[in-house]
Amino acid sequence: MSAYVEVFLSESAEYLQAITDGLLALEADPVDLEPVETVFRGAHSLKGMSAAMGYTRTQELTHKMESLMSTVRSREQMADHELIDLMLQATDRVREVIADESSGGATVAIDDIVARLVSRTGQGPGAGTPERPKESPTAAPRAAAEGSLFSVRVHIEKSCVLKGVRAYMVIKRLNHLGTVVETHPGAREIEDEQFEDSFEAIVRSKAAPETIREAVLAVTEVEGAEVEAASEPDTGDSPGPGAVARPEATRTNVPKVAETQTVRVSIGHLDTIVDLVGELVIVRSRLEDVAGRLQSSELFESLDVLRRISADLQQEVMQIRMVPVGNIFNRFPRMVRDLARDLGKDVVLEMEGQDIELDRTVLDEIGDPIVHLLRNAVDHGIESPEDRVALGKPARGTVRLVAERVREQVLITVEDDGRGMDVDRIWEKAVERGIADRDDRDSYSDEDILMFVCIPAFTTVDKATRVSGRGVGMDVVKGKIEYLGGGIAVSSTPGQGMSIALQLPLTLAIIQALLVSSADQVYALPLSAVDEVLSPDEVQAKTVDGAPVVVLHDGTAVPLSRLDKLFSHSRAADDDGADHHLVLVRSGQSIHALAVPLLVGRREVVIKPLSALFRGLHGLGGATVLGDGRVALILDPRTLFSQEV
Amino acid sequence: MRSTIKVLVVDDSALTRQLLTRALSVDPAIEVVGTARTGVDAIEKTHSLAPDVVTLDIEMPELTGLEALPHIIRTSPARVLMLSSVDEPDTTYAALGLGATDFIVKPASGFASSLAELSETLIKKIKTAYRVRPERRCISRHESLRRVASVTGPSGGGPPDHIVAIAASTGGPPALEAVISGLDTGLGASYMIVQHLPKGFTGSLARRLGRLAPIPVVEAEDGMPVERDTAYIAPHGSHMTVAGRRTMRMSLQDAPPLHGVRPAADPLFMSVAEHIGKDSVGVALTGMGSDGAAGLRSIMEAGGTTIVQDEDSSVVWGMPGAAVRMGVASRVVPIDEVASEIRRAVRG
Repeated sequence: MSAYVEVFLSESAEYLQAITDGLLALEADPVDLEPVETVFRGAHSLKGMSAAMGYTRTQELTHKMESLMSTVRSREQMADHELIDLMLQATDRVREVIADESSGGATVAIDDIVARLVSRTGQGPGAGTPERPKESPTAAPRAAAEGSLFSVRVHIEKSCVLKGVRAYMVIKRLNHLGTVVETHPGAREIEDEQFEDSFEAIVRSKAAPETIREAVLAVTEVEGAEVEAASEPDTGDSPGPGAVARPEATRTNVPKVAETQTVRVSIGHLDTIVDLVGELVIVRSRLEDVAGRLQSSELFESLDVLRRISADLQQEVMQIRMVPVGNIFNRFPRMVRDLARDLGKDVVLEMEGQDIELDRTVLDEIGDPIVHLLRNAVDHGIESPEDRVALGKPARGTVRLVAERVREQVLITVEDDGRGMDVDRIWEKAVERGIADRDDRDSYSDEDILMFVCIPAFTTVDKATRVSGRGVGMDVVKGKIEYLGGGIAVSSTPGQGMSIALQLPLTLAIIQALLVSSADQVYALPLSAVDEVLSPDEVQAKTVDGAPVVVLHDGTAVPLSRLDKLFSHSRAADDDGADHHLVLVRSGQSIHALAVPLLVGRREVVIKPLSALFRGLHGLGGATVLGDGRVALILDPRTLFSQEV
Repeated sequence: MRSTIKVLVVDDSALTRQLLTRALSVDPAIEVVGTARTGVDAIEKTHSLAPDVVTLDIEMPELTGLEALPHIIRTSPARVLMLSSVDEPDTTYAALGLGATDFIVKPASGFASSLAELSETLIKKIKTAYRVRPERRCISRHESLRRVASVTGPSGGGPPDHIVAIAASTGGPPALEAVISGLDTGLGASYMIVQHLPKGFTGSLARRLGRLAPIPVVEAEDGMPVERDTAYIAPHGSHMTVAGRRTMRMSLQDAPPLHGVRPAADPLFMSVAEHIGKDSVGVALTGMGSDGAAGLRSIMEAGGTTIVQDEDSSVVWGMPGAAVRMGVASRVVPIDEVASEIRRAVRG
């Protein structure tokens, strides 16, 4: 039984998501009835599954949702905003009831929502939408008399073995967008596959021709579709059965991706595999050390092979752990919609790059920060529709959530076209709060000042609403992202909007690192943060305002820190550091020079978290075991230099 | 050596697929050769895996079970068992009309914790379906006969001159459609039908047959007067009998199930024989088991007529076969001729 609970929980979550997506799609475009099918079917499946599990409350609630949707499906009533709201609330309740029933609880009641669903179901034709004229049950489907006539010529792939089925699916899809008036050849012939590779459907629809075309092309094994305005039907000019297909192909024949076979694996197994691959990498480096000492060419050859195999293995394992960000993005449209409605704002959430992949552990951690940023954007960024109109902006505000891959990082940006943040106001506040000294204004860039909102308890909105005061919680967001080895960048144009970008590493587990050593202790610097390595004679060391700097080729001066001094090694005092190598380390926007006594080399290292005892230590992001068994501390460039500032 | 029965499980829910596969795994004679999650998937896998029996869910993405069914029937010899919910009787009858061999209703609640009951029903139905020869999958040809029935409401013409009592089980709904759509109004008979069905399906059967029949078809209620030119469907959960002589009434009995079913045909046949004697007509259509045979003997002994569906047109020749072996069949005819035999018997 318990084995089924797990399947039930993961599958029901998928259905709840599909229902939510379907309801939002339906709200956005009531012309296309396909989402109605999705929602109806989702409720139906949940009903069946919960019946199997004996979750009677879930079963009853989803049954009532199914009944309500069946009235929409049969076009007895319209899915207006109230209906969508009701269904969304019911969906929330299903989630709660499932959690309750699957853990053996009996606390979540459903009577109230069931009553509302039943009452809405009973409202029948036209009810709930008083402005709409009542329809008798025998009236033609809603879209029948509306919209324009289109001729849709559909080309099915020659290799298709289920032509009749595909054609049926196309017609079914078209019937969601409007009403198929007739087909050439006739429905019977199409069903019996008595047509060449194309057929024509005359459809009456309110949808745009391009929408119709895309819907048809989305059916598997359809290789082309032409949509043209059609004249009102008369008996004369319709082409007869078996009309010849137009010669030109409308879509290049993309080879179909083979159906992917998938397996569900518990994440615990994956984590174990990652650990084991990590151990393998460590053993490999140990062997490399041994081979280096023995100078055995045979060993080197075998090691080459091992290196390649373990690299491939590692890559595959990392790939397995990658999950598209869409997996967490998918709950945001609902959240933004509800929030905007609560606040009386008109906001559309645009999302991009949902297929960008991130390591699962990273993804699990960034959900909350993104929620926070989105809430901020809707609550504090986007103005009320009246204010926006008064400002000459469109009444509807736009929040964009974009994921993109930039080299070895993923950039997740939350942008809005709202009021933005005012640098001067933030500066004033910072001074007021004693965060900055009024006289130091010039030493802060605008960006630095915007980052003040990430300092704990900083807020520019005096009265924090229940949603969020802008700034409240930004410190938490920043902390979380930095904990993940990422960074945060804020930019704002007052009156135009703002954007907050989260830079995230693709993975947490294995990184390329530059190994350096000081006083026999080896440190690993993430290679992604290393800009350049310079020998001591390449640069000039100087002192500016009492702080040591080095002057680079191009004349810029960067602050200089000594690794041995950062970690207070005893021998540092006797060493003037003249022969230290200089590593230019990038941290966010700034560059630091780090003087290191000894360069060890470049390695792949497996990050092991530090025990809680060390976690608070500035400048350290973890530890790793080296090939020779020694432990190296992993430096975190973001915090490494901050103690000196 | 007997080969195993190859089964394809079609359902859009992963949980249900797992449960069904598990429920079937207890019988070594049954092998689940694959699962499918959409109608299209089902058609493709029926071709590639050549299952003997397909269990087919109704609501699925892309193509529903009902939409996939004709393609499966037309292009493969697989016997199809519909997996219905209690609230899908109409769709289920449509599926039976399109060539599905039989159906089972998903158990009410909590069957995941005990699959035994589901296992038993499912395995029994699959084995029965497996024994059905593919060419016997009955595709209803009566859709085209569907006339706008010239129903003039319950005729109210008083008690019947004859009672035609009909028994059917597996494969019954399409067979009943064939029979009832071939009847004439004005024959002065009442028609009483026992079709073995799960709860919730009898009312829908009455509505469906009512659309095909030239006479009104109602689900019988206790105490209802028996009218001529009206058909009555025995509701689930009680045996249907007739009572009273001058004003004949329906009498629903909650006696224990007979042959494992309630309603059973035997009590109806016996009660009709007792009440109306030689004016009774007993009909046994396709179905598993032997219900009705004993009742037909009573009708025959009372001087009535007995009509039995022949083997070739039966999905399962259990009940008709039992009647023939018992020697109580006056006539053995293909399904297409049952209606005309009834008319002849009633006209006398």
